Amino acid sequence: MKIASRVKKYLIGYIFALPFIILFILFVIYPLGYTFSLSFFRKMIGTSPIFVGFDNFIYLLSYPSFNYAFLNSIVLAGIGVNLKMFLALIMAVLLNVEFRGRRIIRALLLLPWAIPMVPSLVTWRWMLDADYGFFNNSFALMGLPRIPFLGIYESAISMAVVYHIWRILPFYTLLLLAGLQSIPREIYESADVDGANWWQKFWRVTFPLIKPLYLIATLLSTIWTLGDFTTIWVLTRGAPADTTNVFATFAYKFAFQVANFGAAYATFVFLLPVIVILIIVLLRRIGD
Amino acid sequence: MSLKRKYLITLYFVLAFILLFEIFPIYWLGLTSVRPIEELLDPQPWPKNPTARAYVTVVTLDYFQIEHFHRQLLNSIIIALATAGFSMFVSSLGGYSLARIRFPGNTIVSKAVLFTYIMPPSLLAIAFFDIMNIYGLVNTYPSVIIAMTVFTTPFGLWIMKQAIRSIPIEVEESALIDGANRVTIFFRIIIPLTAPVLVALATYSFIQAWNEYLYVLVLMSDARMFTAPVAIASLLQVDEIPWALVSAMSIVFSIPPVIFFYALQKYMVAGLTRGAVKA
Amino acid sequence: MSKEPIKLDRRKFVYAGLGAVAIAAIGIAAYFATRPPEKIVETVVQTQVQTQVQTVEKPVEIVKTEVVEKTIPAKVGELDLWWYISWLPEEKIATLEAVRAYEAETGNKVNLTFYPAVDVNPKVYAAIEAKKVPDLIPNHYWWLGPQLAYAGQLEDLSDVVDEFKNDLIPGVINGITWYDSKKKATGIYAVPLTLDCVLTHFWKDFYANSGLETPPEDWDGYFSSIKKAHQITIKDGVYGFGWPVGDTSPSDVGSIFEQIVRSHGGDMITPDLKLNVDDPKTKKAVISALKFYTGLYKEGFIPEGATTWDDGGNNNAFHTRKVIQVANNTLSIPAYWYSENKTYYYEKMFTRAWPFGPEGDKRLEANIRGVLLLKDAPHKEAAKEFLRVFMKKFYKQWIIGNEGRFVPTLKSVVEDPFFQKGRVTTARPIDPNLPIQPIALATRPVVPANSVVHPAYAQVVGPENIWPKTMMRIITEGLSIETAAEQALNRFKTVFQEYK
Repeated sequence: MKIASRVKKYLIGYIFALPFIILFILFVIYPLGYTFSLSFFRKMIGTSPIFVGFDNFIYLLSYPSFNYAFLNSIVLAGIGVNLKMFLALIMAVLLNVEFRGRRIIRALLLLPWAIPMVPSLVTWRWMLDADYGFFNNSFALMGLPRIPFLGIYESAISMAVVYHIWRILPFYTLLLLAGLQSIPREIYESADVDGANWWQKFWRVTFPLIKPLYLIATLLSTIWTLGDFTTIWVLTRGAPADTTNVFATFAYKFAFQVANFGAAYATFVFLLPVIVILIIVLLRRIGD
Repeated sequence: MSLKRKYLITLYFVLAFILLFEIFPIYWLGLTSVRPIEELLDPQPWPKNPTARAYVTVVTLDYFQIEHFHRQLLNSIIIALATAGFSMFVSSLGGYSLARIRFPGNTIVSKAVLFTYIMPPSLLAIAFFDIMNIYGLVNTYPSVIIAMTVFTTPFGLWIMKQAIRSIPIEVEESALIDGANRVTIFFRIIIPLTAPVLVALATYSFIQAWNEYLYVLVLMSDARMFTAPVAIASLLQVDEIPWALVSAMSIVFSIPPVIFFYALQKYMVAGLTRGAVKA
Repeated sequence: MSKEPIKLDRRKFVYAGLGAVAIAAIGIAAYFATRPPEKIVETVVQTQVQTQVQTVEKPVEIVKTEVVEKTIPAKVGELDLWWYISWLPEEKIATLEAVRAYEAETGNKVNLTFYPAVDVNPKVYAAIEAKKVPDLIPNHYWWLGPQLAYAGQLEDLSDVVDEFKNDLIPGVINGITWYDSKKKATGIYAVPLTLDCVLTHFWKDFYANSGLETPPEDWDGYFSSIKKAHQITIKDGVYGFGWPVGDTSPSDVGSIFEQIVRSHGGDMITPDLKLNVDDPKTKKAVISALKFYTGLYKEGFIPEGATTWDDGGNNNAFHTRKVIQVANNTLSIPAYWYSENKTYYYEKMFTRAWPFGPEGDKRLEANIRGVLLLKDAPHKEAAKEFLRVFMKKFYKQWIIGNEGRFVPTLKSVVEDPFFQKGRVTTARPIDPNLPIQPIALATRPVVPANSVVHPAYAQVVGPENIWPKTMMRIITEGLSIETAAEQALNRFKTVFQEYK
């Protein structure tokens, strides 16, 4: 009787979780395995796959400018994310005082994040336009030379970083701010009693308490930035000379422009181990 | 006191700068959309002769490259609403199961939820195309709806789990004693009590699906099946970009998610502490 | 992490719901309000046809017997046609009109879908992979054709082309005869519709600064005169050359570059389709072309922004009068001014063919664009019938409707005064733009673009877009021209090995 009711209870648990489990197996595990296994096949448009071993990887490594995908991932996820998180921390600390207009500023700060990516990329691309954009027109008025922002590798990738910061900085600022506000006031009061100055308070009290949140946010942001497709695709499409491409845009390019699906899958296989390791690290940290 | 004053002045200064940086591009988008063509190239940051021409064009579709735009907006609505519905369904069931029933594998499923949440969707895009192909779903609504359900459900499931856990267990227990079964409890007690959270997660799913670019680009091959973001972005590749029109389309397209977002702002910001909303 | 329950009050619940409903209602209303009314009329007219076709098991055969009875063009049922749109509305109108005329004449329905030109190839690939293909697709970015033919994805169109084969301009046939690696045979896989080559357009007043009225035809005279004018106009911010440089451009840079290589006597592939990059003459031509093109940019004759231009960037630079001269495939720039401002078209600008090479090489490289029928097309017979009727009855109207952007592939059509004399009236007896392209293609030796004859070449120049990338490396990474050329040519070798 007891076992029967327990089985019944488990059954209901499984049935209720079933929709998600099905989705997870069919549309997360299966595609992941598919990506991994198909990367060893030559699969052109409209043909059935042929096993070719590591040919796709060799093809990719010999493809001109594929090495930029690694560099750009490091720039966007390594430099971009950390810069953004650092700025977000400063902003959060600054905002963690009562002042007039805080609510409205907080509401306004959410706007870049509330707006969908494509429209905001539209406006950035228009502002950065080499000939008619806002920046270059202003430069011209001030007698400065025009800069083709999206036409030079260094500035194009920097602009991707700037856009990224522009879009997500408010989000992480508010995230860290919420974390800061959950720190009990008593801790600061006892620090005041000890005669700690502002810097000591921040370094000894605030930072250790906010550190777990900061690390988790950084890891999350790193993973999502590594997988970001839209920013690069709408902003630069990989130009100039395919140098601003990241793995996701290369994969799209190989699949639908070069019509080589095998290479597209292989592109992701370069990225997968990094992502999986980061996710495992993160899952350990988050626990439950 | 003087330190505090100095601090505030610095603060306002920095904030003004950051706000300018954050808001100006959006202002510029709105500005571009109301500028007559002759003024488009001026750098001066206010309109001299504002015109609603671009918006009229968006309504009348009187431009040869955007003939399907209304249909594409409709597609966005269909996909976003359906995603919201499915996401609510899967998340509430799964959330209840994970929160209340300690079945073997509960933690594995929990980890799977988190894994799916953290996983960048773009990794699976090309494989999705092939898999949807196998199921014969490419270029249909279900393909994108399924994809978006997969990627919005984990967050929904997570917050449903939290919300259900916060309901006192006694409510359920007394119902169980009264002879109600789990299904009845779920529909009669859990759903009404978590309704606000359900709405929030539906909104979240709606916004995510509404904004999606990559999966629509990959899975839809007919211009009539595109959603609005793909249509807008594809105007950026044609030879001569009608900037005023693209901006007006962008604004029209941005209004629903922004409204939803601000309507649920309190919730969204509160959810931040959980590292919740996908950025 | 915080565990506070989050509450939404009922009001917000209701608001959110109402908002969703309102948006849905607006969307649905907008959709129904904007459905083109003429389509409804069409369905009324065609109801009979549709039902006939639907009720028979083998529509094609039975329909053919009908044709004999009624002696009108065959009723072969509907077909799906994808076409591209560029920024020129007239092109879309011409295509729509041709399709409507065909529908009215035959009673067959054509489901026409337009895509932005650069979206066409990815969408075609996706459709083929998904096995849900349309029937006819444009070979607008012309590297698509040879690649699809090689992959065995195209239907042989010899029987369609045979009907007007004798009327084709010589050489066009090379640009539609492709190798199918599955059949291990060559065949005719496209109906050629248009020819175009690199042309140059000038603002008359800017160019007058060189002291000449029209540019000489020889290489040095031609370019030095523009550079001379540039020295004067640059003071007003007007550059010498509006040439795109970056790889955001899917086709213009590649075409201009290939034309420069040809003018320097380089042949990247031999007439029997073997890669010819080890030939010292070719290598030298490629190096000279790289030196020349990147030199123009580095020396400031091309606006800095040219590295970000897409295929419309050069057009825009010309339209906004920021350059003296612009090089461009097709006559899209004059076509723009013809519809925008006729005075400009007739009096302020003029078009010149590409100059002769430094050693007098007069060859022009022609892109051949057309329409392809996919192997898995659901309505092959209908599509072929459409192509037959189209070429017979509506082709001329269609290509003239394209505002002279392209040169026709049929001798009988290119003889039309529209192409030979241009759009002349008694008030404006000379058309300084339109006839230049047909006359140049008729009087100078013409070679089809390499990327429209060989699939491997098509891949390197098309999707891989090698030339602008090579130039960008020279410009932004400071790679030496010799190394860059070496790398590019090696890339050709690698890819050619994959297409055996």
